[in-house]
Amino acid sequence: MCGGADVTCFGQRVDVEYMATMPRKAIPDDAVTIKGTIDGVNVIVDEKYDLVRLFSKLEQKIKSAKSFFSGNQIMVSLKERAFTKDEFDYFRSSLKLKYGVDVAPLIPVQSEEEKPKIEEDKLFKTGPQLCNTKVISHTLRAGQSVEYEGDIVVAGDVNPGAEVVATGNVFVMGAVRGRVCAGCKGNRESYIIAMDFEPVQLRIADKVAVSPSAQGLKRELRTQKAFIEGDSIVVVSVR
Amino acid sequence: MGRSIVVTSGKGGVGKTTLTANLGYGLSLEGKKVVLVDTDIGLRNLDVILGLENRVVYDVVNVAEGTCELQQALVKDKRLGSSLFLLPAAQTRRKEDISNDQLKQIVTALKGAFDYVILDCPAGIEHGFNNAVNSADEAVVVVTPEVSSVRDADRVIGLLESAGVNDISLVVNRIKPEMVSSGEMMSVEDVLDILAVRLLGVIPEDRQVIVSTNKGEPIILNEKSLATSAIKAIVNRLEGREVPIPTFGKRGFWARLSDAITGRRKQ
Ligand SMILES: Nc1ncnc2c1ncn2[C@@H]1O[C@H](COP(=O)(O)OP(=O)(O)OP(=O)(O)O)[C@@H](O)[C@H]1O
Ligand SMILES: [Mg+2]
Repeated sequence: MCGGADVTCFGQRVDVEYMATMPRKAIPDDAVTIKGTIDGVNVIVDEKYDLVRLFSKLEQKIKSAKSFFSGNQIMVSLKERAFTKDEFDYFRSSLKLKYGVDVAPLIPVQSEEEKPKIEEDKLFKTGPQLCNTKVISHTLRAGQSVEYEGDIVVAGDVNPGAEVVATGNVFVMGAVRGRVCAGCKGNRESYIIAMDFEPVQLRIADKVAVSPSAQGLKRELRTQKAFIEGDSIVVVSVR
Repeated sequence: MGRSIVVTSGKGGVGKTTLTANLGYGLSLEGKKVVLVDTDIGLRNLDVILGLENRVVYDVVNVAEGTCELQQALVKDKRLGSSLFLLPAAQTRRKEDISNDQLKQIVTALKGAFDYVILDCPAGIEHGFNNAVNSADEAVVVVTPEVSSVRDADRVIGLLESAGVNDISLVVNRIKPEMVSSGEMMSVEDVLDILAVRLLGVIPEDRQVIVSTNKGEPIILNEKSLATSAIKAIVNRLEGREVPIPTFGKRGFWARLSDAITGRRKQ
């Protein structure tokens, strides 16, 4: 496969520039996984391999699991990151054309312009493209919990014994003293921003950490951000 | 129409019944007509703390079921003329034996005849709690300066808010100033930091309280007790008078704990 080429796939022209650097290896079976969930069928593909070949792999799997697809809501996602618009369009149009099924992205698709900017400013990089946001206009008290597909903004504290679980980012305009989980469906780009982190458990994607208590537990309200750096969660002051 | 106030906490044994009894005494000494309602059905205590156990004939469940008239069930505390009454809980029944509507009706009827209707709430957040909370217009949350008590109080405040009880105030009970100063106990400030509700009062730990509880004589009658002035101040604040709240203990528990974690020296 050559860089920048236009490849015709199933009667659709797709720009496959991003495939130029992909190694041309045999695709293992687990590069495409299909999971049935209550919400529908999740197809997760490994972006290490080129998308055209991943699609053939998916086709093979569909043949052996056709009943899986009929009448089900189908969602696709990449293993490690969000789809770019092109990548997602390729999958959607291919599946639509060949099988007449509609697919949705499991994790919101990243828009084009957003992508290059990400590396420049580590602190404020957006994980999933900002999608739905739920605003909680009060402090979350013990025993109260909020779960949401998207971002969550809490205009107050998250008290001990309260819980916030988002598939996207979490913004707390107060102190985090209870449990907060960002990127709960596995998006490691997700982050948590709060005015203060007390030493409680934080979760981002598959990482779990106890936030540091070094600057003392008496609150100096300073905006802080928790995100995944390398293989662990770090908390840094913003500004 | 009088005010209905539920005294609640979530966690058990933090001093709800003691506070209810003493507020009843304090307010009636102020010349108010007060009725205390024991909603801790099956575990009634309020009659004992008030020293009225022997005079209980009917109870709140009897009233709900129509076995007796409301007036018949009210026990008068003779020490205070006819300004303090108790509506006792049933000892041999369960919380489920009275419905929310029944208790609400009783409280509404009492509000017509009294300045204050104070409900002593059972511990926990189940049926008995729901009944009491849904029958009152205001809530006083009692908390002791312990992490578990604060956690339960926070839960209860959340439940009160969702039950539409928006007038919520806090009493911190059993504070030990020297333990706060030495950093072994949460300070009032630490508690307020989490709970973020209006502070109605702070009552220090005092062994005299236990003695008076056993005698069936409210502590507020004991002029020597440290708790007495604190409870009187709460009575004044309920009556709308501004009384300053003294500080108990200097340094915050969390500040000390953080020193310990970070290895900073104690001052
Ligand atoms: N300020 C105080 N100082 C010392 N002892 C206290 C104080 N306040 C309450 N106590 C004691 O704590 C014990 C529990 O008090 P009380 O029965 O009022 O709690 P409660 O919250 O009503 O309990 P329950 O949840 O079981 O109804 C009693 O023995 C009482 O004397
Ligand atoms: Mg009690």
